Parts: sequence; C-alpha cells; structure tokens
Amino acid sequence: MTTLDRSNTVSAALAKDRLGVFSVIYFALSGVAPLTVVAGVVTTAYAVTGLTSVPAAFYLVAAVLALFSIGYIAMSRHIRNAGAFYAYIARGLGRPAGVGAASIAVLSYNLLQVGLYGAFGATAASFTAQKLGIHWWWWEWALAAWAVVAVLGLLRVDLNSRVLAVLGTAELVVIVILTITGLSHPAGGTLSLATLAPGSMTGGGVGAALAIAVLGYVGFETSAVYTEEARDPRRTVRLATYLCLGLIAVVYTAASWMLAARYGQHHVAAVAQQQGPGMLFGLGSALLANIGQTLFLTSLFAAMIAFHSAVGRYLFTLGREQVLPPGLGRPSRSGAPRAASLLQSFIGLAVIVTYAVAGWDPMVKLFFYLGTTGGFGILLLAAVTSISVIAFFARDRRGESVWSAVAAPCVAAAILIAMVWLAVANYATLLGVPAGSPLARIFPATYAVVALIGIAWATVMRVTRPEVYGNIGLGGEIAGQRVTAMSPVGGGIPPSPQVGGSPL
Amino acid sequence: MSWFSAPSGAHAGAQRGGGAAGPIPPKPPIAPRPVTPGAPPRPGWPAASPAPPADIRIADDLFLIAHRDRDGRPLLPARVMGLAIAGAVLCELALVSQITVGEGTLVVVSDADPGEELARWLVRQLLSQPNPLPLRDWLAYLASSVTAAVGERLARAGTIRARKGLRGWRFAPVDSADAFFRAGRLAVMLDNGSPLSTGQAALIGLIYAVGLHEQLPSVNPASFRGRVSAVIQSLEWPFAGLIAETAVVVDNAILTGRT
Repeated sequence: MTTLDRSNTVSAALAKDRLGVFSVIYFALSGVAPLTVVAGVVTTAYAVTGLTSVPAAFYLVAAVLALFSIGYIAMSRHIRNAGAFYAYIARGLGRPAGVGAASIAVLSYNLLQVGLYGAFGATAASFTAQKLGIHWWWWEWALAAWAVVAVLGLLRVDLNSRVLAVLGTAELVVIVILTITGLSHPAGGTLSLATLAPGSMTGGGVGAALAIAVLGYVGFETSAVYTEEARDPRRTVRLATYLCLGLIAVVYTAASWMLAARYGQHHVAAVAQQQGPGMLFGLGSALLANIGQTLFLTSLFAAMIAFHSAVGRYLFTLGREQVLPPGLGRPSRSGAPRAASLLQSFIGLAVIVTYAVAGWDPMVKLFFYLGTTGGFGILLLAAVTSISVIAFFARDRRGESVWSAVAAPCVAAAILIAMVWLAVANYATLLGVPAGSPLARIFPATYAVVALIGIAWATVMRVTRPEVYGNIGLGGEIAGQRVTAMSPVGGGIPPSPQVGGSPL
Repeated sequence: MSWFSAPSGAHAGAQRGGGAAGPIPPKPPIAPRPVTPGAPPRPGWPAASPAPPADIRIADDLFLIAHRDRDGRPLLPARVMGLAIAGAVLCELALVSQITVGEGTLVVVSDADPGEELARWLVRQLLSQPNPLPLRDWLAYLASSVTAAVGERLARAGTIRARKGLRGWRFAPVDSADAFFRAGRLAVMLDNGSPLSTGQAALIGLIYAVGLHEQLPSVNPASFRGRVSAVIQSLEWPFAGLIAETAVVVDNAILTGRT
C-alpha cells in the first residue's frame, strides 16, 4: 500500500476511512488496559512476589520493547497478513516454526483472556457488595462478563475507537491523579527513589520482575495488525507504537513507584496482600475511588474483548490456511470469525467453571498465574519474532536500513532471550510459590509442549497435505505475491486444464 | 464519493466534480443516475446502453449468491460484501480486456466504451487518476458504494426489487428460483468437473475469497473444497491477482474488525 496522496480525490476519500495515529494507539491501549495493569497486575505483583524492583523493570522493559519494535514494524511493512507473530515467524524461520509460534500465541492470548475473568469477578463482587449490597460470588460476575463477551464476540461488536479513546483517556487521567496524590504523601515524609534505580534489579527475582513488566505491555504489539488499515503505513504504526510504549512506560513506572513510595518499600507487599487493588483507589477521594473502580471494570472488560479478538484472529488465520479445521476460517454474517469466537468462549467457560468448582482464588490463581504465564508467552514470541526478523531481512533487506533490519533486531533478540532465560529461572518467584514447586516448571513447560505439537503438526502436513503446508503463514498472500510480481504470468500460475482461455 | 453523484442528465464533466478529479477522456455525454451511496436501486429504469453479454456480469451473480434468495438478506457484512463486489466489477472489466494488473497497480489497457453504464463509469474513474493507484486502494474505494450500484443494475434488469424492511433496504430477487439456479449451476459444474469459463472461474475465486463457497449447493461436499481450490489455482492473469488481492483485503477487514 502506498502512502495516500490527499490531493487526489480517490486518495482523499480513502484517507478518511483509514486509521490515524490516535486510532491505532487506542486500539492498542484497549489490549494494554492501563488501569488493569496498575490496579490489578502491579498490586497483585507486589502482594504475590514481594518484589520492589517492578518500577525499574517497567522502564527497562519499555526500552527493550522499543528496540524490538524497530524490526517488528519494519517487517510488518512487508507482511500483509494480519496474522502478526504467526505470519512473521513462518516467513522468517520457516513454516514449522510458524505453526509452533501460532500454538504459543493461541495459548498465550487465551491465558491472558481467561485470566481477566478472575480479576473482573473478584473486583465486581467486592465493588457491588460494598456499594450496592449485591452479594454475588466472583464466578457469577465472571460468568455474566463471559456471556457478554461471548455474544459481543459473535456479533463482532468491538468497542469502537471513540469509546476506547474516552475510556483509555479516563483511565490514564485517574492513574495520573492517584499517582500525584500518592506521591504528595510519601511514607516517612520523604520520597524514596530506591525502587526506580536500575540497581534494584540486581536483587533476587529479576526475571520475575521483568516478566511482570512484559505482562503490563501486552497489547502494544496489536498496532502492527493495523498496518494495512493505516493512513500512512510507514509512519502511522511506527509513531503509534512508540507513543503507546512511551506513554504507558511513564504511567506504569510512576504509578508503581508511587505505590512503593507511598506505602514504604518494606511495607508495600503487606499492604498489597491486605488491600489488593484498593491500595490504589484508596488514595483518592470517595468519588475518585468509585470512578476508578468503575473504570477498572471497564478496563478489564475492554481487555477481555481485545484478547478474545486476538485469539479469534489467530484461529481464523489458521482456519483460513487450513492448518486448523477450515470452519475456524469462516466469517459470520457480522464479519466475526464465528467458530473461532465460539471456541475461545468455550475455553473461557471451562476455565471459570473449573476454578469455581475447585474453589481456587480468582485474583491470584486465575488472574495472576494465568496472566503472568500469558505474558511470558508473549515474551517468548517477541524473542522468536526478533530472530525471525533477522532471518527475514538476511535474505533480502527490501530497502530497510541496516539498523532496522539487522542491528536493532540482533540486540533485541539477545536481550529478549536473556529475559526468557531469567524468567524461567525465576518462575517460582513470579508465581509466589516455594522454589522447586512443580507449578514453576509446569507453566513454562506447557509452552514447550504446545510449540512441539505445532511443529509436529506442520511436519505431518508437509507429508500429507503439501498444498496446505505451502500456504502456511501466507494467508491470502500466496497469490497476492503475484500481484506485485514483475511479470504476472511468471508469478507461477500454472496453465489451466479446466479453465478456458477466452472470456466466457 | 458517491456513485453517479451528478444530477440526472448531467454529463461526464459534472461527474468529475462529485467523483474523482482529473482528466476524463473525451467521450459522448453519459447520463449518470442520481443514486447516493446506500440508496436503493430504482427498478424500472431503462438501460442507458446496450447490455454486454449477461454471462460477463459476474458481479450480478456474486450479488445474488451473497444475498439470501428468498428475501435478499445479505450473507456478508457490508464492507466484505463491498470489497468482493468491487473485485467482481474489476474482473468484469478484465474479462473484456479493459484493465490488467501490474506490480500491484491497476492499469487501464483500453479506453474503449465498455458498452455498459456501470463499467463505463468505472473506466472513467480509473482514467481520471493522474497516477495509477494500487489495486487495493481501488477495492477499498469502490467497496463503499459498488454494492448499491450493482443492485441498481440488477433492478434495472428486473432481476431484483428493493424492499424496505425494518432494518433498511433489502434487494430481494424477483424470482428466487433464478437466484438459486445461479449458485446451483456453479455447484453442478464443479461437482461434475465441467470445463469452466474464465468468468465462472473468477466468480468461484471471489466466492471463495469471502467464504461463501460453503453456500454452494454441492451434492458432494467432501471433495468440493478440493475442486474449488483447483479452479482457483488454475486462474489466469490478471484474475489470479484480482482475486488474491480481494482475498487479502477481505481477510484484513475481518482480522481488524473493520467489516
């Protein structure tokens, strides 16, 4: 797609329909869900891990993800398939790696999505009990949210960019006000910068702090999906991604630092265990607390829909390419990937029912365990994607600079691989379980298992269905490549035994 | 932009103001119809020019297959429908060798009068651009209004009629058996492995691109998909490019939720 020349009438008409920088930012922010992260992830991270290096981890991870985005966005300009990580890895590292990555992506986004039901259920139950005297179980609220997400997913009623803009801005404003309020009353009367110092990362559990920070940024990668719809594919998505990363890096770092400074570095974990998200909302007036808690619920809800769509996107692409049953690649009349949406909803229902029956804690064992594990999956995908960017441009740099195509992806890949290694090493700290707990091995190992299943499935397809194997990671592009070929006939269209040469 | 946005009786020069800018090659004045985007077609209007052979009009067949035959309910979301029908009208021009595709760009290879109002308007739009535009931009541009324009063409031919329902206008076939027959004929030809014309193969490609191939009443669905794939693989240039590009923009519309 070319940058639109707005002096031209057709181009001007198209430009109106295309997404600008702020629309892309707000689509990405709906997955990022800043209030979900600050009120949910950060407070639970303090409570479960006791790590006070979280604020430093936030800005360090933002820098790493900005570095990662250089190659990621450069590649998005050459891959028209909106299948994101799957398409990139298939094109960079080969089809089996692509299917393995798709398996990791489907698992990660599912974990992220279903984890949110825990936070929503627990928060809604507590909020309505306090404010409205309605006493429902967390899972009753979770099931109500699940039903709405399932219906909206089928009808393809995504929150539009204006609604997202209003909600996202309101979330950011509330966080900023609460941060300023908290910082104006630090523990002990002095503002400690200790948790902001990079040196705080040298303590134990550095991998856990980094993984938690990555979880906070999950959703930013969505921006690349909109490359085809962007007003200026070279500038819009790049600017939106960096602005989004920069904005939330400042907000997350400041808010998490504020919590540690407000309650005291050595007491913040205990307060978090006692108050949960209330430790944030309690800093403001009663009105602000009510607005904040309401926005926390809408933030969780927007994130649920965003991750539901992300799962649907991967399943739809895999169905379209017949890697999974073709029914998953069939849109409904509303344009929703119907079967993919139903499958994700079924998974959500199964998880909520399992947790409800087992009586497991929704905030820690559903939201935090599955959320952090989902975030770890995205970290894995980012690491593998960086390697695939290097491989993709090694064959042909396609006009991209050495910095975008080689240097930045190499540095990003090295750092991301180190982060994966550290996260695996510190997984027990991440989950807040004793060292040696089987959970600390089972969660990361699940990714290895699903990746191997994906790779094995691709290998089977190579033998049994070579035509399907050949299309992996190409989406509708297989023939789309021909459109851009210098010689159309040389684009590889075999002579037809079936189709007549003359028009009709 | 609006289809035929100039008042009735206006000529090509007037249309430049409401549509694409740029020079339009001198042609006899054409009377565009005053139909705004999304407005229902106006049945009963006389055709402005001799119709081309009906079997070139794959956009008509796609329109009918993409709407439920008994009541005209659309089977696709509006934008997906528009993109697919935009692909179909461009295929119609390719069938009469008026356009081709090169390096992702739509190229007009003949400015001869295509002999049909919609095609004539389209050629004028294509020629009016100072620089050739990418195919995908044309698909996106046409998608917003081409469904109504093809609906109008079908209404003028007496094939469909507009009905105002609770949820807006619907374009129901006058003869639902005829609409069903168009899908059935394709399915039978595929089932039997009959030779297909280029236009029919392109139509099947477009049907596949929007996921409507499951709607074709095949008697042997188990092997149907394989035959559909074989037809698509054997498409000639520029139809392969037109259909592949339509498939890409349709997929991206669905994946980004902009349907």
